[in-house]
Amino acid sequence: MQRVCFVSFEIVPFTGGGIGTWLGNTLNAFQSPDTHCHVLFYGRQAISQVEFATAYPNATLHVLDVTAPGDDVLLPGQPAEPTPFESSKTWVSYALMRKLEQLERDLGGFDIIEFVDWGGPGFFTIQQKKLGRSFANTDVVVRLHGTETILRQFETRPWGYENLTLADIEHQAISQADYCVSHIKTNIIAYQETYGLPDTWATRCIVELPPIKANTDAIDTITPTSSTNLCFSSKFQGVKRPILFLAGAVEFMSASAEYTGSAIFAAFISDQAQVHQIHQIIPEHLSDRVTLATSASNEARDKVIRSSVVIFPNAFETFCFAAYEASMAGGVVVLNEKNSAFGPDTPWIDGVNCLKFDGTVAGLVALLARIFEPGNWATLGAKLAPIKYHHEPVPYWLQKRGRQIPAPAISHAPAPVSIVIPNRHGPDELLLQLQDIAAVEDRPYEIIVVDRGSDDYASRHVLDLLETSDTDNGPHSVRVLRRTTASNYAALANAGIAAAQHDIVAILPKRQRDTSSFIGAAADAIAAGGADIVLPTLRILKHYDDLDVLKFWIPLGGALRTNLFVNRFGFGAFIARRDLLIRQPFDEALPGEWSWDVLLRLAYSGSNVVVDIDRGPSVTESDLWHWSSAKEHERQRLIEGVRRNAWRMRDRLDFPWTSLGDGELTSSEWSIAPQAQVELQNARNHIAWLESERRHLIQDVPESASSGDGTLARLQAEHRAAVEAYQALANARTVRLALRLGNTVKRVLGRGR
Amino acid sequence: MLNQGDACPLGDGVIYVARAGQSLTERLRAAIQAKPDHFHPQHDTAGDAAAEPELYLNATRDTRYAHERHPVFDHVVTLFTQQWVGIRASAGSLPGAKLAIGKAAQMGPSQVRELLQILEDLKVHTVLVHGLSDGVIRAVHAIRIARPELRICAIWHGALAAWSLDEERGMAQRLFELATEGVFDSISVMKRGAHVLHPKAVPYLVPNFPPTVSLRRLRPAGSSEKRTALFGSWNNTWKNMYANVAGAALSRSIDEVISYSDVDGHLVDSSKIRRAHYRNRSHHFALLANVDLVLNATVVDCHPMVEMEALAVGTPVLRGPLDLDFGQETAFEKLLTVQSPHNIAEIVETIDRISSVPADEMADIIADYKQLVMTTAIGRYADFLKS
Repeated sequence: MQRVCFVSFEIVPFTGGGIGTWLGNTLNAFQSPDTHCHVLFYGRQAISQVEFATAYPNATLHVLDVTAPGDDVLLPGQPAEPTPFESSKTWVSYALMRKLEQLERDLGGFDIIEFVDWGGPGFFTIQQKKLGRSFANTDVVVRLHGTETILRQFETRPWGYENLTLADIEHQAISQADYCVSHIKTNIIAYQETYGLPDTWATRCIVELPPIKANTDAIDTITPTSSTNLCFSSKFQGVKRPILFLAGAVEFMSASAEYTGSAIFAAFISDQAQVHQIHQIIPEHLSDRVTLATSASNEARDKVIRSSVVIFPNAFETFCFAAYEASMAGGVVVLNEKNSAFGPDTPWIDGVNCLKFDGTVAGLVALLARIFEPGNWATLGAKLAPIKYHHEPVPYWLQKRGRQIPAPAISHAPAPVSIVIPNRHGPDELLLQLQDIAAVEDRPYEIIVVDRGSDDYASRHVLDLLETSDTDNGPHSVRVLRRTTASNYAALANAGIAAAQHDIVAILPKRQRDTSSFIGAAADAIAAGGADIVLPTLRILKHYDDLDVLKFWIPLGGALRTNLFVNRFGFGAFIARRDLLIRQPFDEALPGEWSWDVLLRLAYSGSNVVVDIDRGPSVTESDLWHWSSAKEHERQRLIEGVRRNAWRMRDRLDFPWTSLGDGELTSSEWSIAPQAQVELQNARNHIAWLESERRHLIQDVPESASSGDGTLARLQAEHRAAVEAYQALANARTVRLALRLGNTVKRVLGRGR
Repeated sequence: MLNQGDACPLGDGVIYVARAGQSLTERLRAAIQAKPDHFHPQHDTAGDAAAEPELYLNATRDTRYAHERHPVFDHVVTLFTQQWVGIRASAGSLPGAKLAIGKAAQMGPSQVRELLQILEDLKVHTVLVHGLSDGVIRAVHAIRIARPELRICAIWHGALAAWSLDEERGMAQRLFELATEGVFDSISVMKRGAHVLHPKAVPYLVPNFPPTVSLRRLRPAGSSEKRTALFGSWNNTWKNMYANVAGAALSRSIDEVISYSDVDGHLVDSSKIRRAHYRNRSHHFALLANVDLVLNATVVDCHPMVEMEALAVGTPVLRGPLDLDFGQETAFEKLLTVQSPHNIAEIVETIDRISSVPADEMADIIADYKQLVMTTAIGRYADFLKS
């Protein structure tokens, strides 16, 4: 028996939405002794076990509250709150992964875990599988319902940082999944073009017509009369083109004196802006013939649909259940032929089960004129009948397609690794780092310290000892390469990589500690083929001797969009296949941000970048400041250099220009120099201290308020000056802070589809 | 002896000793009413991240080399002066809470409040004071007044020869006065025989702890082909730099002598001398853990932290006669002690003798002595903090 878990934020009858409809249809259609379906629901709607069991008696419900996953889901030491994830969708993906790990621990593994593509919820689950950590015997699958990136080609989004991260985790989930499932073949082509996915990805995709539950199974399509209504039954959403429907209907109704029907919007509202726009353009003389029946009951809506000419001007769909339902109910279905979901290689045939127009207002008007021309229907609709639709009878998980793609087989022989440490001064830091690495005793390793002309005695002495000590200790060795101060970090790293003897290389900056467990796990994952590059999650400490992690810094994997604007790869520590770093070495001509640059080029060249959320070095926050330029002109110079290099790599993926606004806004928000942030914080701290002193003085020595003692007066004057200084600092950034607040609000409230 | 409720002169004013059961506010009022004008709240340079607050609890530098919790130090807070770096390092090796106080801390109302709150939060029974300064003196005065039930014990670092300096002598005098006044319940002078100076002085030494250092040696001391010795102190009268450096330079057992201070090449053969710079304590440990010998044959010393640090990383220490009240029969003492630190020939002989000991044997000698120091120190503190 196959255990299949569908991860979804929608499911009928508890929520609306096309995904919820598809899931409900699927659960009902594929009940069999061979399949036990589970649903991991993470939507906002509360669903009780009793309600679910009534609707789906043969399926099992699991629920995740993404706002509070719980202690049995998030174990001690794991990131446990959304802030370091920087976007709500990334956090949701992580929480889902932890919930699935809990289910795997408690119930045993699933054979299939299927995610929706929208929002990239499968991202972190896939990372864990790539690392060989969890879901070893599970196919992790993504179904193509329509991502934000796809939708954004057809409708606008408010600019923001979250758009970038969302697009990137969607992209990575789709490209890294074991395989994808699509309702129709044309989606695969569309996704491949949009994301620049290779043919190897397309060959891993499965095409499977989904089950549809028609409310009515009509034998015939209706014969339209002069009073037959025109109906828009999709969502109020830009990609569905409701304005085009209205424009076509209004133009037709204005031109045809004989036609007496109405234009009815029997549509689900997801975009109030669209509704408002529609109200604005309904002509006065037709105001009583255009109806917004958005709150109609399902029965009333079905009645309208099956007795109407139902028009789908939608620019893009991955399937469009509404069109199939309308046809099966007997309505005349009119489709935009430019929409790939209605084109060749789909069940829709012009004149047989639908009528198609060219996607323009004029084209729609012309077709409506032909439909309602007296006497013409006999010819036009002679063969028209409800679509004869049959879904795939045996779902993919029961078909012998040889699809189970196991997790990377982590070998019992630990993979050898070369560890390159660019070094200058700090012999104590170097020694401690070497001690950390020595904990990786179970594998062969070599350490290559590439020194940049350290000239203090202690550093030279330690390096001399490393060179002359018996450090070639069987499978472990330490080497020192000497360079001068003319070599920058990139040159040091390249020298170490060139000298490395093993196929896997770790780059370890100084002052990043406790790296041994990360290095070992990442090297094994790369050796097993699960990844080309592994990025660690940083543990930020207040001080190196602290045990408590202040916060986490979490990379976004091979995020092609986000990393064009801000560095979300990390702070220098990563592990990669050596051959990749030979083909794409660190750029020694850049004045900084070398790791960001090389990782972006590697990501653009198609390397499989994986995030290890469980392991990574410890570092103090003050050490991270050194990685970012404090001055605005330096920051711009570095970003331009990084982008220039990435631009040369983009032969497969053309950067979507819709993301430019997101990037401009992100850059402007993030351009507050770290030093200025420190100044602001210091000013706030000083004001808080003065207020505290004043309060305590008045409380503990009440006579000070009236004694004329100068202490209180001095405190008050100092407080006033500090407040003025703080306001002067803050005013310069008011606009940027407002933008940041706007994005924070958006993130908190969430955005629907 | 101060009794609860007593009115008692303090400086130019009068203070009232807090009564048991009084609230924090009442105790605070008792502590600061001596001379309100004397207390002016001050704040260190705003926004200057490098400046420490005048009351700094458990600063990283004071805890990173500390030993793990030990029952002897439960409910004990160790006070010391921020600027007295040697004493601070000594205190930093101890288990438990550390409170570093600015040498000129005025102990205004907010600081006294903060101090008393710290004692309450940590459930302190005993205050252990290392060294004195004006700031520490004001702090212990406030504690004694506000928390008369606490034990306050003080350890004085340094030999009496240092009393040739006015500041040292003045603070020593204050130590004894505070003991007499009842601010301190007991004191310890870290020099054998000095207990005769005050009836409250304990007759045994309370030794320093070696710090806990996580750096490990790359190879055992004395096992390298090229042997290095480190003079890691200042060039002043009692550190005896030239004798140490000259002796090491003249020894055929030593190939390189590293000094943190400039060495006049006219007086000492400079071909072996290398100048290094003390950057910070962690940087120092990296070097200390990778030299073969530390040169510390001083003429005046109590229980040197130079030796404790070397023990922590397994490096042997050439030392003068410290006249400690433990460990005289150990191989460490016999092998590494120069009886006459002025005698350069003896220094050379001692270095050569040290160098002739096999590296693994020397490592055992150091480890055994370090264990003895620890055991002795724990036992002595256990007695002292209850005395």
